[in-house]
Amino acid sequence: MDINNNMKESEKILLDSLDGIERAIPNPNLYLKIENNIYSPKNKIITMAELKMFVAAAIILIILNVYFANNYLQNNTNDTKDYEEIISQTPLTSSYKLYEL
Amino acid sequence: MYDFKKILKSISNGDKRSFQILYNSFCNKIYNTSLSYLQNKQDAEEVMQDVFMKIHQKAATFKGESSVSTWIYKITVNTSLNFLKRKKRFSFFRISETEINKQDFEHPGILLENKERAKILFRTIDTLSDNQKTAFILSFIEGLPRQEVANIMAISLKATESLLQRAKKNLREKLNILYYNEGK
Repeated sequence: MDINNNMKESEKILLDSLDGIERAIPNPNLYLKIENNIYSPKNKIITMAELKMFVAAAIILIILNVYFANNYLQNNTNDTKDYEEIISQTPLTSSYKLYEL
Repeated sequence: MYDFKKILKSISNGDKRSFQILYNSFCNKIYNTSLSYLQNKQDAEEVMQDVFMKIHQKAATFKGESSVSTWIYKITVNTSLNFLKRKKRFSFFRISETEINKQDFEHPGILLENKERAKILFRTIDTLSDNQKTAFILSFIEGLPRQEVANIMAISLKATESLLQRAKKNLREKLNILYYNEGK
């Protein structure tokens, strides 16, 4: 019972802190800034964070490209090697008597 | 008293004067609402810019199904919540300076004698879920009627009341721990 009363009391004390709250006033120069953005759009300014994200994305893309290109080339070389091996082991013809029936 | 529906129509036709009238009528509401969510002046101003850009871009699409004020509050709430989500996502990579500032946020409109207690209250509001936070901010800080809060949140009046009850219950529990930890 005592705990409940304490809870209600503390809640009331803290909620009462909003009594007489006044409106905060935004920066008076903000209107001009917004108006400029709307009515005379400039080139988009890229923030440092955005730039870092672009660079990171580009690096990841390059790494992936190199990795897959490398993989592709290696597989291709292996395929060619296999093919060459098969060719070298298989005689072109079993005999040169081509027209014999 | 202005007819804001007409003003929105003029804005969509590129009328700067109408935009200024709308700005002067709503800048304080938008700024204070976003300030309650973000608890940081710079972030609140950034959100305010975003909100006015959106109002300008979407003025032509306003259907008039709700009041202009409800529509603007809706945009403000959504933009503030999205801003918070974006910030949370990026705070995974770096400890945001504003997170630290948030701990000591002092609402500029709070009376001097209430500042310390309000600081605890705002810290606790920040821990509520998005819906409870919205219902609480719009009702108790913005002082909007429950029906308007329901319209802004696109829920029923009953659901708004229930959200407020839950918000108050959560606040009570969290406030109690914080308030007594802070040593009254």
